[in-house]
Amino acid sequence: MDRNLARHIVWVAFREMGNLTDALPLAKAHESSQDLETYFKPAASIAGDIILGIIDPLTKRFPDIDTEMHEIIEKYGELI
Amino acid sequence: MDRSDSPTLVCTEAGVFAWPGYALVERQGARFVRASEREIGHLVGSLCGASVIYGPLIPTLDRAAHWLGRGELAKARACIASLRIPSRSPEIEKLYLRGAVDQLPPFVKVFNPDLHPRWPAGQSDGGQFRPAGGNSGRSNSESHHGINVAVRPKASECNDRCYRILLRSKPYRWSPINKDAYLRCFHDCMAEDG
Repeated sequence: MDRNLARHIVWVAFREMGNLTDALPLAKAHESSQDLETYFKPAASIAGDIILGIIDPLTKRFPDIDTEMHEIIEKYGELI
Repeated sequence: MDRSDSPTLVCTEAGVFAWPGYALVERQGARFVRASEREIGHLVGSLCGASVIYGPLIPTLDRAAHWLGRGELAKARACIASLRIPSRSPEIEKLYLRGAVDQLPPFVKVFNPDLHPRWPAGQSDGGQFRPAGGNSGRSNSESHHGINVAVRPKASECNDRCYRILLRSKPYRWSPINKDAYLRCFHDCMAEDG
């Protein structure tokens, strides 16, 4: 796979994983309902699959993508 | 982002956080809840050495959670300030900052399914280790996420152990620390025997 394409996929996967995993803790901070807990594991498992199935293999194949991702987040506070 | 001079434990209105931003105590609805002793021991112990696990860390975090729940931030901070936490290991600190799974600490064994093959799921001895070199009866295409299907039960068990990391508070929205910590937890778990 082309590196630019791999980078694009990692960026999108990281953002989507972040959107999913941020949503439930946000809800938890405002709502103490135990119902929320039932959604935590499925959401985190999907995020885990994104990490293990997409981000990790691609960043192992192109290690500089991982370095670049960390540098960009450190510099700008988000993945731009 | 100044990290090397930052304290190991920070108490805020949102909870108690360990460098570089892991939640040890966090808000859940109206309450403040402490992470499990195992998680705290793994994190703070790896950062500052095992001696910290045998000190008053856990009861102090419980007291801090109690005060935070009552809106007494100053008292919660005083609890945390009373702890004598050893300095962080610069080597481990570097690993946490990099979060690179290809630079795992030397004490972590990397699980290699080729060295520990198992019989495939769905048969009487499914999931059990099988002799190396034998035919597993599965083609290479029958793999998932780069993990041999035969070790999928282990992967599921490891996800059960690690998934909550992805739901922890982060120091800022796009911080990759949860992703990196999840990967470390998952690979550590996969590297364990049994």
